[in-house]
Amino acid sequence: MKHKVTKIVIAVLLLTGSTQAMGQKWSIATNILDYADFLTLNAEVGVSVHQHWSVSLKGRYNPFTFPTTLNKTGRIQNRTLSLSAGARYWPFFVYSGWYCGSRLQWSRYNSGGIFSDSSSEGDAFGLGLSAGYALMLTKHLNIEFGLGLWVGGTGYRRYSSPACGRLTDSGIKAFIAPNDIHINLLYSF
Amino acid sequence: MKRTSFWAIAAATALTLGSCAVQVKQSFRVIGRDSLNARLSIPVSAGEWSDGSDTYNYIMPYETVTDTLKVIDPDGKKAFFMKTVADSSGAIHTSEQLPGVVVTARFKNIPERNGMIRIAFDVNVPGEMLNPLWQLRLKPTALITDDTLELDEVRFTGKKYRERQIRGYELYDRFLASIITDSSELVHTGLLEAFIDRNIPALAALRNDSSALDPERVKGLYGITFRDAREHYLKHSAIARNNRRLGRLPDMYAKYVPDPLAHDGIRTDSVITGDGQDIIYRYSQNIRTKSGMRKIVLNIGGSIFYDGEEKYSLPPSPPLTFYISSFATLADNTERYITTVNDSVSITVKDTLYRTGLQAIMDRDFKKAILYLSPYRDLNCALAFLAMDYNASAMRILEELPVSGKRNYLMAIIHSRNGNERKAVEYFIHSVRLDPSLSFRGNLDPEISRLIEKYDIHSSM
Repeated sequence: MKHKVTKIVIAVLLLTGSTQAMGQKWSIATNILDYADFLTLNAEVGVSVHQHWSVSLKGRYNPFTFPTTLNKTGRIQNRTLSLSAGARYWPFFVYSGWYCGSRLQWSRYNSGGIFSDSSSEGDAFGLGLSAGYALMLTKHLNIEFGLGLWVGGTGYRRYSSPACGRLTDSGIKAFIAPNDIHINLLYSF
Repeated sequence: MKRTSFWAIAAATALTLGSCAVQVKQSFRVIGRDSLNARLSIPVSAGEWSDGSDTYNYIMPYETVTDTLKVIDPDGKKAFFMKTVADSSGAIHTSEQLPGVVVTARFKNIPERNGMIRIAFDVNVPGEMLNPLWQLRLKPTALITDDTLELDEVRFTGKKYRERQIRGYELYDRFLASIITDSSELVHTGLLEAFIDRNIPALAALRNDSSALDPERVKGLYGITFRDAREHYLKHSAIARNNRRLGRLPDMYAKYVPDPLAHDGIRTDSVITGDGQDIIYRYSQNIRTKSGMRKIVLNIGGSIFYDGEEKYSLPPSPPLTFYISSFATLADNTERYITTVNDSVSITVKDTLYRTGLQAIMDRDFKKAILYLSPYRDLNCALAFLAMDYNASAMRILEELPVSGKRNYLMAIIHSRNGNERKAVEYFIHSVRLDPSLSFRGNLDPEISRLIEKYDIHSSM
């Protein structure tokens, strides 16, 4: 048992520890547009695995509620916690030029007061597709532009107001929605 | 308002261009109808020894002058006033001064000197053949025995025609400038550098450190090479566009510069500012003589170019003939023999060395003739020296020779060359006494013909 664990640990370290020797490029990125989306904090960690492929893990977190005069309730929010794991295909080379990707995403949300007084909350799970272009700015820095959409299903509850509202609707439904519209700042190591 | 003025300008431009073409066509019709053409003529003034440069002349058209006045006298009768002249018996005759009729000579005798002849002639161009919109090209051709020698063209270019030529060059230059020659402009250099910095660090390090590593062999992340990266970051559309333009270069040149400014093969290309005046161009040409050259028949042909193309072809003009007189014709052609003694048998054979020297004179190769004939020190040898302008050597030989028509004639030439006119005239007159045909020969050699004219020798002989 001990030998097995040791072997696994060594394997993981080898795969992830040395970068240049095994040919990997790690990266971290953040989506600037998300900050405009009610100050959603986000980070994405990625690694290249091949000349044409990279994989990444992304998390988004928005715990904020804002006061507003736009609706009767005085509250507006687009809170969310989402995790996604995805892969990107780069026709020329990782972290340079055009790319397209897909990912599996789970997202817990609670948003309200944006278009009307009502709010809705729930979990969504789906598959997303996206495409974009990565422009190399310097040796380490990229700026990436892209957009995508995702399809999946969500279990939701709708209320009449963001706080202490009546439950007006609930259920499970399918959806297709634009998603992952991004202007990423990416740093590669 | 803007729209109407655009159409007005467009219409005006079309009208002007159209009218230019119409005007040109009309002018061609006039030229054809009046059989206008460039003419050749022997230069009116200037001796053969004047400066060799070609010159321009303008000749004013002459007006007829009448010397008869018709007057009504106080009695109401008509009276005529006119010029009169008295004849030898005292009778008075009216004389009307006729305008001078100019007879244009169609031939001229030219001497061969130093193995060369110089032909000089005037090209007369009527003013109607010159127009700011077109270019007149005239090319004299010389028929020498059986060979045709094309002389350099003379061109008269209209101001507007030249402007269009230059404009064509400008447009072509502009097109040329649009072709990218700097290869670094055909690559996204910023992106390529960032890519190399990031993914082929070994190559990036080579930039500052020139070690023995071959840049082509360096590999980066996932085996990417410089060549692959560069290939990806080429500006492919710009390259394609550039190559297309390069391919079109000859077509564009033909389009913009259909009629390039000529540098070789033309004597002159002058821009005419055109006020309709006739032009006379003095053309002179040195030609090296060959054996058997007796005369040169000169013709002039040409064409009018408009819009970069030949639009009108001039018919051939009446020719000029130049008769070449050479010292070679003065040579004494009698055969020479030498006697050789072989085993108490004397054989008389033709002197081949002399023959060769004599043939050299006939071939106008006077240098070779001197080489072969100088041992003989006879008339032909003196002739060869004379032809090469070795006057002192020729004189020394002639002084020793017996008096004869030809010998005296050659002496006259040498004295004339030395500036000793009295002696030259003396010897010439003596030569004519001995050989009357030399009187006509004198007209052909400028050294003698000059004296004949100056001292009016013919009328006193």
